[in-house]
Amino acid sequence: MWKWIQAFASPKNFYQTSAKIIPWFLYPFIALTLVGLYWALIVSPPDYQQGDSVRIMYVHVPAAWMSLFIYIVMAIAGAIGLIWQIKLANIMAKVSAPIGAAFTFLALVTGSVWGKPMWGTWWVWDARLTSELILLFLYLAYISLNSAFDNPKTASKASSVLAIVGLVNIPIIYYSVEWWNSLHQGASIGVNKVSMQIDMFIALMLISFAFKFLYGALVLMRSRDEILIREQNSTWVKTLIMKGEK
Amino acid sequence: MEIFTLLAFDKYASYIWFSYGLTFITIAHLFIRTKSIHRDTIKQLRSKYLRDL
Repeated sequence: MWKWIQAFASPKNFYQTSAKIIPWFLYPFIALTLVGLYWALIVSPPDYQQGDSVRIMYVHVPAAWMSLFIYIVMAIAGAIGLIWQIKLANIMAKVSAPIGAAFTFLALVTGSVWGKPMWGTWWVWDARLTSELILLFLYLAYISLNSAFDNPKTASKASSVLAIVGLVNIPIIYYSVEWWNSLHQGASIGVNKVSMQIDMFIALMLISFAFKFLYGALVLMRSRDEILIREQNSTWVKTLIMKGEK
Repeated sequence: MEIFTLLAFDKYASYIWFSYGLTFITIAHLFIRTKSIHRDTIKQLRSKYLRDL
């Protein structure tokens, strides 16, 4: 197993294999998005209290979940890169950051847009919203730090340490609604707990999985370019480019 | 006609469509940016190798 991981994690092997895997992420993403949108906008009923505004949840919640998920992936990949010096782990962490930042931005803005009709305000400095905003700043700090060094190894080391330290913010975001008084509602989905109508749950899951597949596809696509840049002095990259890789 | 009535979402329409629109734009931006990074990488490496010939 370890040998297989090592072989797959070699930049050349990963570059070749990932090209075949990308469609396996892209097509499910498209299919799940289309079905998810149908479920979110047409099948699922309005909420008994929030009315149709609850439909914002189907993009807001999956985006917020992705913001946490991608940060955890980024920190774990960074740790693997630091400990075992696996180049691919550092690449994964680096390319994940802008995607995670985009999802965090989306979660914050859609949350704000949902907050206006429900709470009567675009923004409150409560624990959930503030910690999610800090997550966005962590992503931006990671991106800046990673691009501040000419040497990719030094850049990866410095930014991985930041990602690992920033991991402390993840449980704060998750439990903030339980630890502090908050305008933000508590979790409707937990272990052995789903406190929402089944069609709402299906719509939420469909779009959540669509976002996961989207992340997979984008990470693979961006990793391939990062590999080409980092391995530009290798013969295989030179041959590939001069043969007319598109 | 019925579908448009269904998607009007009463007084929340602007909030809902703004959220879905922004999501679409964000995802489209991520894809377009990924493609442009790829194009630039290939272009940059090709001109480097041609210079080195």
